[in-house]
Amino acid sequence: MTVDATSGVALGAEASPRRRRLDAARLLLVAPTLVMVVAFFVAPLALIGIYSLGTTSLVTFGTHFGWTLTNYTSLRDSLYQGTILRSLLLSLSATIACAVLAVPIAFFIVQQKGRMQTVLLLAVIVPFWTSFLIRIYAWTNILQNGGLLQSVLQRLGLVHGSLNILYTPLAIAIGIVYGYLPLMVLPVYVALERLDPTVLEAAEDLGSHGWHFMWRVIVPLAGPGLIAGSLLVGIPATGEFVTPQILGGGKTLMLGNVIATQFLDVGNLSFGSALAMCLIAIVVIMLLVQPLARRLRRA
Amino acid sequence: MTFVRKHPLVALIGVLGIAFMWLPIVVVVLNSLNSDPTLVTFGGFTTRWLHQAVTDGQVRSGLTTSLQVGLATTVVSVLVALTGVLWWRHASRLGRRLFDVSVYVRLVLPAVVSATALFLIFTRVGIQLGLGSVVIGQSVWDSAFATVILQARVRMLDPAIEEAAADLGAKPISVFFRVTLPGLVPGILAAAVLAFSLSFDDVVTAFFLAGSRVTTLPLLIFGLIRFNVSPEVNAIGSFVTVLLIAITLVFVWTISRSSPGKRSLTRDLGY
Repeated sequence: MTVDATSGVALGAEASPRRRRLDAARLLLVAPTLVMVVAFFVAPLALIGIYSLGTTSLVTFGTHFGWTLTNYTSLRDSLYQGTILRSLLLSLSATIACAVLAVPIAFFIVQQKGRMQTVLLLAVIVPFWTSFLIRIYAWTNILQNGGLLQSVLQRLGLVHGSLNILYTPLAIAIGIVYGYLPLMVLPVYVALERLDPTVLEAAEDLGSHGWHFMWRVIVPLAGPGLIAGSLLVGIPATGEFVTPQILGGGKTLMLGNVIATQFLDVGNLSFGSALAMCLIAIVVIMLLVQPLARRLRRA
Repeated sequence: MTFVRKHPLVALIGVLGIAFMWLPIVVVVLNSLNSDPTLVTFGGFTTRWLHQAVTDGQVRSGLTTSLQVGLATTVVSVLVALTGVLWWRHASRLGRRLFDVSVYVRLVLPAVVSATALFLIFTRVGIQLGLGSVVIGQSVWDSAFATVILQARVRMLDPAIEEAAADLGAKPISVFFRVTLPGLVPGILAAAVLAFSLSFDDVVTAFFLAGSRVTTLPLLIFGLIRFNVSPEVNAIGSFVTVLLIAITLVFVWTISRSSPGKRSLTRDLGY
């Protein structure tokens, strides 16, 4: 028995004119999504691919379409290799830092009683949904010389003189960790929330405490959440545009910034497209690594 | 799990971690009231920056633009998501799989890539950049989010109720409007709130697709931050933050009221 899309009315197996009319109506239902995906997502991305194989003249800004790999070989230039490497390293270190922070934060939330858990979860979610731009901007004020972080560290006697963190890769890393931490905390929380409490109790009864308990019991059990969170953090972090622009002061650039410069300032559409293809390739590799990580975990 | 031994270090990182998430918001709000224009130290309270932000013509027009873009994006995203999900509900296995992939891919690709791609095709075809292109650019991503929310809601619908209505003689169209749609209303509301707040916060898509004549509020703030440090940014930021926190709380409230059974915030959010 088939069920009609809009009504749930059971239909006979034979194709009646009415049935055909309903099929046409159903096709109409998926049309907006099709237009959105094909015209405004797949076609533009295909165009990026085509442009990346052509050459853009920086005199006339016309693009000659050919099948040349010049743009891709230019990626080997140390300037761009540095950018790609920096994006990967910043994204990787930020993802690791998020994971290290997220496990205790999520475990702390899971340990609370009912209502308190909801309140703490909201405390994680609400700031995440306020303006990303404003929150990143606030870090310029915290990290600047003479700012909040410096005075706290000075009072603790950890730092003498000025910090000089703002407008460095470290500042970008702090911004990315801050910006994407909730995306790691939430999946880890979900993984820990579903745990059977008796398992943890058994581990404790068998003498697992402190570091051993966190490292050998909680971290492995949080595994699926950590894998999901690593993608949620790692992918957007690699393509990050706003954070390096603000906290890197336009000096320390990541892939997203170089793509923007090539498209909007330099006007080299073909080379910009090759850079964008490079970012797409990185994302695809990250997505392919995920099932691998799952399988390794099971083994 | 309250009987599991509490580890003091876990509690410390937990408390500090959550405080870490709120720190920049507190800093922005305090600085919007800070009378020291260099913002290095706290020089006492003033409403000067808040006043300056409220009376700034640029801020007003940026806000108007952002509201227009936000509303248009919300309508487009929800319509695309709703029609798509109604199709997905009864599609073939292959159809559902392809649909899910199309949603997932849109969510996963960094905004920089999809925005550049649209920039390229719009300039190539000769479509002028402006409000329309920003709305399209944001809708590509926001409609994927809205779809995920509505898919979660559709799964909660019981087809037996619709079948019962049909068996009792209701025409397909009235089954849809009187049974299916009312069941989806909480999901539609949640998807709309989410789409609006995503649009209202968007910098990257607008940066590529707004062209030179259109400036949304985030673009205006982005420009102010990049070119000159003005305490006014904190004041605008405070207003935006309060607005977005209110929107988020409404979102969480609609979504958690709408789900029957055991309350689970994370499940409602699609995790």
